[in-house]
Amino acid sequence: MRVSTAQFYFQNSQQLTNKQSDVNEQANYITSGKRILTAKDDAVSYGTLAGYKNELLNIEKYQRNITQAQNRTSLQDTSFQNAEGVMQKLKQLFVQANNGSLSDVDLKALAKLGDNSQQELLNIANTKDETGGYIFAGYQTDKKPFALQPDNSIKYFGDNGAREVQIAKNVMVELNQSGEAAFEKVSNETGDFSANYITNTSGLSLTSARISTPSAYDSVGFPPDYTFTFSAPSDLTVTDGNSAVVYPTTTFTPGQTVAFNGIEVQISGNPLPGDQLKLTPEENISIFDTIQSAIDWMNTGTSAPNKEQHQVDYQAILDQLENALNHMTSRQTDAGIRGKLIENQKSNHLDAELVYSKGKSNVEDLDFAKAIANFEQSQVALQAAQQTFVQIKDLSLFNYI
Amino acid sequence: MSVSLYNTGVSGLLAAQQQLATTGHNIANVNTEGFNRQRAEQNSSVGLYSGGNFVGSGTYVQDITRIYNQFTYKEQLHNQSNLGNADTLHKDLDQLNEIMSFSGKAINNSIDKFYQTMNGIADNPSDLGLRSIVLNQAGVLASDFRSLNDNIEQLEKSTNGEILQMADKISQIAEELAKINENILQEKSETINGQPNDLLDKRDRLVSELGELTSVNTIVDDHGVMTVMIGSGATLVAGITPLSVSVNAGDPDPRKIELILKSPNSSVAINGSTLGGAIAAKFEFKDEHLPQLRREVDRMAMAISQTLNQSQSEGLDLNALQGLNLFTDINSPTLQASRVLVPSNNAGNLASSINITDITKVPTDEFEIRFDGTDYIMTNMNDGNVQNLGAPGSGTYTPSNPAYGFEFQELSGAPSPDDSFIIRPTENSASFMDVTLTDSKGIAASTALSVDVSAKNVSDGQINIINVTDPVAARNYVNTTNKGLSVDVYESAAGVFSYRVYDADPLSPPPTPPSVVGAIASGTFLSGNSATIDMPPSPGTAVFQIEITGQPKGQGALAPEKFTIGDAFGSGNGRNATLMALTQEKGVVNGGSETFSQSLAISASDVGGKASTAELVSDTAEALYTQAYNRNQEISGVNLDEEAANLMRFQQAYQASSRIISIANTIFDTLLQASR
Repeated sequence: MRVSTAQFYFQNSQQLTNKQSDVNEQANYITSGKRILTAKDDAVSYGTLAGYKNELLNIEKYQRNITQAQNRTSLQDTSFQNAEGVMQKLKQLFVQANNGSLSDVDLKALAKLGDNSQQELLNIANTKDETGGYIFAGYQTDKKPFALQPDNSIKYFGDNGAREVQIAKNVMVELNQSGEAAFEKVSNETGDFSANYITNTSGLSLTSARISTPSAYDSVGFPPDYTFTFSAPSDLTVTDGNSAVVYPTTTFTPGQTVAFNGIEVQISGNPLPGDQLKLTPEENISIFDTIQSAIDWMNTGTSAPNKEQHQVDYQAILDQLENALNHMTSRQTDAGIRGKLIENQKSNHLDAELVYSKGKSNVEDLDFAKAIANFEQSQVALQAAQQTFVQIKDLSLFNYI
Repeated sequence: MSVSLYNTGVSGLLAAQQQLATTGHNIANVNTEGFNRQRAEQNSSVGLYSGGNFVGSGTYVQDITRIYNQFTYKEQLHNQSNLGNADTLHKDLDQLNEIMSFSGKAINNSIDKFYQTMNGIADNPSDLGLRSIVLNQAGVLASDFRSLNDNIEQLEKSTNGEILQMADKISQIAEELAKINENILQEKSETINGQPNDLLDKRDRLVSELGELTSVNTIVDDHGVMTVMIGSGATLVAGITPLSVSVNAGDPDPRKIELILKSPNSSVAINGSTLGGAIAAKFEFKDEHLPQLRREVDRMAMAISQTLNQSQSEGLDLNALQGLNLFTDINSPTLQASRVLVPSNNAGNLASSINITDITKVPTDEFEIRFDGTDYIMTNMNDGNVQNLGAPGSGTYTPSNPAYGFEFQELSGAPSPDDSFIIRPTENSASFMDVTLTDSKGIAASTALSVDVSAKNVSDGQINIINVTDPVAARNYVNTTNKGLSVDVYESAAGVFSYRVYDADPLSPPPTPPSVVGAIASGTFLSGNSATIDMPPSPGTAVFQIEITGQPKGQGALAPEKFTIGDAFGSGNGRNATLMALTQEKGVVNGGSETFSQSLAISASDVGGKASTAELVSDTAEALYTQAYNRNQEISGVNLDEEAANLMRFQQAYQASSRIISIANTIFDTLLQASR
C-alpha cells in the first residue's frame, strides 16, 4: 500500500492533536475532582446528579427553618416555665389567704402580692422576641396583645393566628402559640357552664355542669341561662332563658345528677328551699380573670356579706387556679413536644443528608485511581506519538542522494 | 542511419527532460493541497521501414496525466461534507452545553436563594430588611434569566453571521469554478491532446473546499466543463455560469434567515438544512436546537413569573392591599401581542394576541394558524396535530383537542383567505422578565382569611379557603359586611352532608339545623365529594371560595361540625409567604410534573445528551474521512522517496540519451573521416 508524504504528515499531526486533547481532558477531570463537569460528560447521570443536588439544597432549607423554629419554641418553653412559676406562687398565696386568723390588713397585703403576680404574668404574656414582635399576639405582632383595662380586667387584642414553616417535605411546624390559646382558653373546671349564685343560704356549690350529649343539646329551642330553683320541701325546678320549664319539679337528692336538654349537672351540698343559682355558658375562662377573681376575693377582707357564699367562691377560684396552673404546664409540654418533633426532623435530615451526599459523590466524584491511570496512559501515548514522529521524519531518500 | 540514431537520442533526451520536469513538478508540489501527482506517459515512436526491417525511432511523451481516481475522490468529497456537518454541529452544541451548564447553575442558585429569603419572611413577615432582600434576590433571578436569554440570542446572531459568511464563500467558490471552467474550455480547444492538469487540480481543490461547506455533486461533460450541484440537486455552477448564494431575512421572524440561490435572471429559495455539510449543521443548530432551548427557558421564566404573581395576588401586603405582581405580568398586552408573528405577505389586517390561561399546559411547540377562507386552522408545527378553531369573528378561540393552556384572541381587523400567523406561546418571556414590585412592603406575606376549627369538632372534615381572587374584598366581606362567617356541617342523611354558612354575629345566632332561614349559603354534598361555595354567593361576584372536604359527620343536627372564618390580616401573618415558599417544590411546568429546578436540569441534560451524541458522530465522521483521504492519497499523493528514486532514474535516462547523441556524433565523424 502506498503512503503519500502528505498522508504521512496528516496522520501524524492528527494523532498528535488527538492525544494532546485527550491529555487535556484528563487533566481537567483530575484538577476538578469531578467526573461530570457539564451535562455532556454523562447526560443520563447529570439528571440524577441534579436530583441529588436539589435534595441537598432542600435539606439545607429545612435545617435553616428548623433553627428558626427551635429558637422560637425554646423562647415559648421558657416563657411558660416562668408563667408556671408565677401560678405556683399565686396558688400558695391563695391557700395562705384562707386562714380565718388573718386580718383585713393581712388580706390586703396578700391581695397586693396577688396584684404583683398578675403584673408578672402580664409581662410574660407580652414577651417580645429578637425581631421586636410580640410572641403571643397571633398575627398582630406589632400590637401589644394584653392590656390592662380601667376596670382592672385584661383584654386580648391579638388574634388566633399561627405562623408555619416547612421543616420536611410534608411537615409544617407552627412557630408560635397565640395569646388566645395560651392564656385565654383555660378550660372551665366545672365544664361548660359557670354558676351565678343568686341566693345561697346552704353553701351549695356547683361541681360540674357539662353538655354530655351534644346531639341532644338544643340551645335555640331551650336557650340558657338555666335557673335552678330549690323549693320546699326538697324540690328542684329548672327553667331556661325563656322561663320555660326544662326540668319539671322533682325531689332533689343531694349528690344526684340533674339531667336535662343534653346537660348533666352535679351540685354538692344540701340545698335549702329558697336557694337559687343560674347556669351561664362559659367554656373557657381567661387566666387573668381567674387571677383577678382571686385578688378581688382577698380584697373583700374579713367582712364578706355571705360567709357560705364566700367559702363556695373560694373553692371555685382555687379549683380554677389549679386548672390554670395545669394549663400553663400543658402549654409548656406542648412547646416541649414541638421541640422534640423539630429535633427528630433535624436528625432525620442529618441522616438523609449523609445518604444523599454519598449518592451524589458516587455519581459525580472522580475515581482518582482510574483517572490518574488514564492520564498516565494518555501522556505516554502522546509521548510515543511525538517520539515516533521525530524518528520517522528523518527518513527520506533525499538524505542519501 | 545515424541521422535516425541522432533523432532517437534527441527524442530520448526530450522525453527524459519532460519526465524530469514532471518529477520536479511533483516534488515541488509535495505540500500543495489537493495536488494529484502527475506522470508522463512515454510511448515508443513508430518504427521506420528500412532495410527490410522496422527500426524503432525513439520515444515521445504521449501525455502527462494526473493520477486521479474519480471514485476515491468522490468518496473523500462525500466524507468531507459529512465531517463538515458533524464537526460544526459538535462545536456548536458544545458551546451551548457550556452555556447551559454555567447559566443553569446560576439560575438554580438564584432560585434557591430567592426561596431561602421567602422562608425567612414566612418566619418574620414584618421585617422590612428581609423584605428588601427578597426583592433583591428576585431581581437577581430575573437578571439571570435575561442573561441566559441574551447568551442564546448572541449565539443565534453569530450563527446567522457564520451562515452569511459561508454563503459568501460558496458564491466566491462558484465564481472561481466558473472561471476555471472557462479556462479549461479555452485550453482544451487549443490543445490537441493533453490535460490542463493543474487547472483540473485547482478545480478539484475548490470543489473540496465547497464540500466542507455543503454536499457537492459534480458532472464533467465531454469538453471537460464541470457542472457543480449542491445539496439535493441545486445547480451552483452551470458550465461557465456561476450562481450565487445569498441570505435573506426571514418573514415573519427576521432571525430565521433563508438562503437564496441567484442566477442572472432569477432567484429561488433553497432549504439550508438539506444542503448538507457545515451549512446544514448551522441551520439545524439554529432552527432546531437553539429555539428548542430558548422556548424551554422562556417557558420556565413564564412559569416562575406566573406562579409567584398568582401567589402575590392571593395575599395582602403590609398595607392590607392586594399583592401586586412581583414579576412582569405574563399576559401584559405587549407580551401577548409579541407571541403572534405576522408574515408581511398577509393580505388581511388582523391584529391578534395570545393569552395564557393555564401555565401547566403550555408546550414548547410552535404553531401556525391559517385562515383558509372559512375557518382558522391551527397546526402544531412540531407534532403535526391540526385543529379547526372556528370562523373569525368570535373574538377568543381556545384549542381544546388537546388543550394547550392558551387562547387566540382577535384584537382588531379581519383576515384574508390564506393569511397565516406563527404562534409562539412562550416568546419573549425571559427577555422581558423583570421585577416590577419596588416597595418591599408590597410583598404579600399575609393571608386575608383564616379558618378557626371549633374545639368541639369530632370528625375529620376540613374547610379550606381557595381561589382568592380579591383578598381585600374577601376580607371586607367577612369582616365588615359580616362579623365573620360561621359554617356548620353535619351528616343529615346517610352519606349526605348538609352545610350552612351564616354571619357569625353573636347577637343573631343561626337557627337550629336543618333550618336555613337567613343563611348566606347552604347546600348538601355526597360523601366522597367536596363542596365549593362561592363567597359572596350569586348574584354577587365571588371573591373567594369555601371548600369543604373530608367526612364532617358531626353529632347530629344540634351539634354539627362548626368552623369560623375570620379576618386574618396582621403584620405577623406570614401564611401567604409560607404558601409562596412551598411553590419551590410544587410541580408547575409540563402538566404539573416538574418543579423549576427539575425543569432546568431536564433542559441541561437534553443539551448535554445532544452534545455528547454530536461528539460521537463527529469522531466517527473524522475516522471515516481519514480512511477515505488515505485511500485517495494512496493513489494520488506524492511520495518524496518515490520521486527521489524517479529523479535518479530519469537523470540516468537523460545521461544515457545524451550519450546516444554523442555516439551518433562520433559515428558521423567516423563516416566523414572514411569519406575523405
